[in-house]
Amino acid sequence: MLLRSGAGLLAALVLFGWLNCPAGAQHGQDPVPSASSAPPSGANPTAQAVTEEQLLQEMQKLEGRVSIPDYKAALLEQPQGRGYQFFHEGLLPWLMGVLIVAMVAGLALFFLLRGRIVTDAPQTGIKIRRFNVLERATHWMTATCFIVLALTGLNYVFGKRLLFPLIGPDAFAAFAQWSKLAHTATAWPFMLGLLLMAALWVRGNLPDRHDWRWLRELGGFTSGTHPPAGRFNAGQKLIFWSVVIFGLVLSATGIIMMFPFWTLDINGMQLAQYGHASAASVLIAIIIAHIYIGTLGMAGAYDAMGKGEVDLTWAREHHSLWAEEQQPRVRARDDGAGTAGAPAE
Amino acid sequence: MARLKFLCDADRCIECNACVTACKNEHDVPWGINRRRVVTLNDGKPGERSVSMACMHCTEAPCAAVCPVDCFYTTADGVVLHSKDLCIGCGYCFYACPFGAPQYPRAGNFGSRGKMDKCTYCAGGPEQDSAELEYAKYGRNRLEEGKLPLCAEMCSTKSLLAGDGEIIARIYKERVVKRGYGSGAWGWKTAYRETIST
Amino acid sequence: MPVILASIALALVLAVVAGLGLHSMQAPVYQSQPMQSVRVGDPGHNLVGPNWSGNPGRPENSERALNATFREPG
Repeated sequence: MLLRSGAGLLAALVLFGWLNCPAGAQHGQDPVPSASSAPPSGANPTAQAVTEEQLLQEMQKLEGRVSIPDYKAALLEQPQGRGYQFFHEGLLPWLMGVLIVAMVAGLALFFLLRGRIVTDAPQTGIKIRRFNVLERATHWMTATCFIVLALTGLNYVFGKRLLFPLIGPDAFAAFAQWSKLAHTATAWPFMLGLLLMAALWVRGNLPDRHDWRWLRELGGFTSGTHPPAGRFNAGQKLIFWSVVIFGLVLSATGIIMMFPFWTLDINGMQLAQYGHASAASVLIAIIIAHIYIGTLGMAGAYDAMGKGEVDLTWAREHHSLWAEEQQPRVRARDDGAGTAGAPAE
Repeated sequence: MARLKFLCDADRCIECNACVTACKNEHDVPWGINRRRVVTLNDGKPGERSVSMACMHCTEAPCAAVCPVDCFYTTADGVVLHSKDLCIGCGYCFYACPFGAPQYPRAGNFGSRGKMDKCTYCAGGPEQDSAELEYAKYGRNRLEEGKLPLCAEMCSTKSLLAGDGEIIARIYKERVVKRGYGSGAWGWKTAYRETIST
Repeated sequence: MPVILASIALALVLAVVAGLGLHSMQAPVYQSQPMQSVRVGDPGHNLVGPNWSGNPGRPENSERALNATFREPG
């Protein structure tokens, strides 16, 4: 259902763009009646001609007809450009900056207060397979691409503010050129990985009856309890759906921007920018939290994706229902210190 | 200090495209780049109007503000210019420009659209080392010879005015008073945040 | 670890392939913006030639025009 709403948003965006299709621009508009109804006379031959304020009030942008094949040139004036300037220079740096800094600060505070989350019981040394090779390869490919995309994307907003003063105009321009190429090129493996991840894990991330309890107890992050969870707990499901939905929004708006004016006109392209930048701000903040919990925040979590196997204690405490299902497939340690029960078949 | 502006008298423009031709010829503008263009509103219908449009060299230029590599600069006369060496061809300036002035030599694939090109008010660009290089990159620099932009000089009806903002505003106002009608200075509210009361 | 390195390598390879593919789709504006008039390198099909009959789109008329005798008025 969340996925369908994401697709619905996408469809709405494309539909909005088609309604503003630029192909009509070169063929002129229906005549807009002028402000004055007086007939043209010698004293005022342009009595019935349109004026700028009138057109702007009625159509918000001025479009006419040109004799050159560049249909975009038929747009005489779009004052929305100033609105784009406000978003890009006034709003976006604050939105992105505040979200990211607040997330980092919040995580730092959480780490200082709670420390690293470790298992209550000691490690057994018995490992369960958590993610197979395909899942891990997909995750790491997508993750690498996301890091590159995030850094090169942040460069568009903050590069001239933070990096430019350090390295000067020529070096920064060369860096910005390469960073832009990296952004558009890395987007493709990211989109491929995103689709693969969605396909691999959508079943495990559908909501179930344990999610509400997990969320109510905040996953035990503050209380220290261990609410039961399946293969993916509610927090992970939130991450999954955030990545899928925001990732799809980023992919769609990104493709729209990568082929300028292919489907949308100037106002549509501006909207695509707003969507892309806003979704990126949110997703980067969320992923920072995801990286935190998967590395520093919780002991034993990294092994899940890094090696593919987790300790049985870790599984029992954090994903109790999943650990029970996996019981028959537990692999005993080489020195035979297994206490899990029947060895792997 | 003069503050240079453009003013197109939409009541006089006859869509002859002399301004376009003059600009293209003087700066050797390649095919597909339209520094100046004439847009006709209500073409062929009652109330037809033509306006010649190029970069308006706005006050607080939006293009300069959104450029991620800060390749724009405004001269003391108010002319907005940019450096093609720093430009990465991202296209943000086109989204910000209310008048569609930035032009790119390649289509498609944000990323390699080529260096942005636009009307320079016949003031060339930041190429100090050689005049040939400045001409090849940015076109003729008429301003340093004390001349006004060629589009306005070549306008057949003197509808396109270029020069100090106060002087051309005064010329336009006198015209409107003398002939009794005037549709205003198109684009001035968005570009310079001022209008000419007629 | 080997899985991670292989994934990074795969991402890099796919990115380079995508970049090259995008680059090949690039076209200068004189190719991408369509026009019906004459263009250098592609003379088009609307040029007037020696068999021009004065009737666009009717090449068969050109034969008659060539063979017709021109009669003086009066």
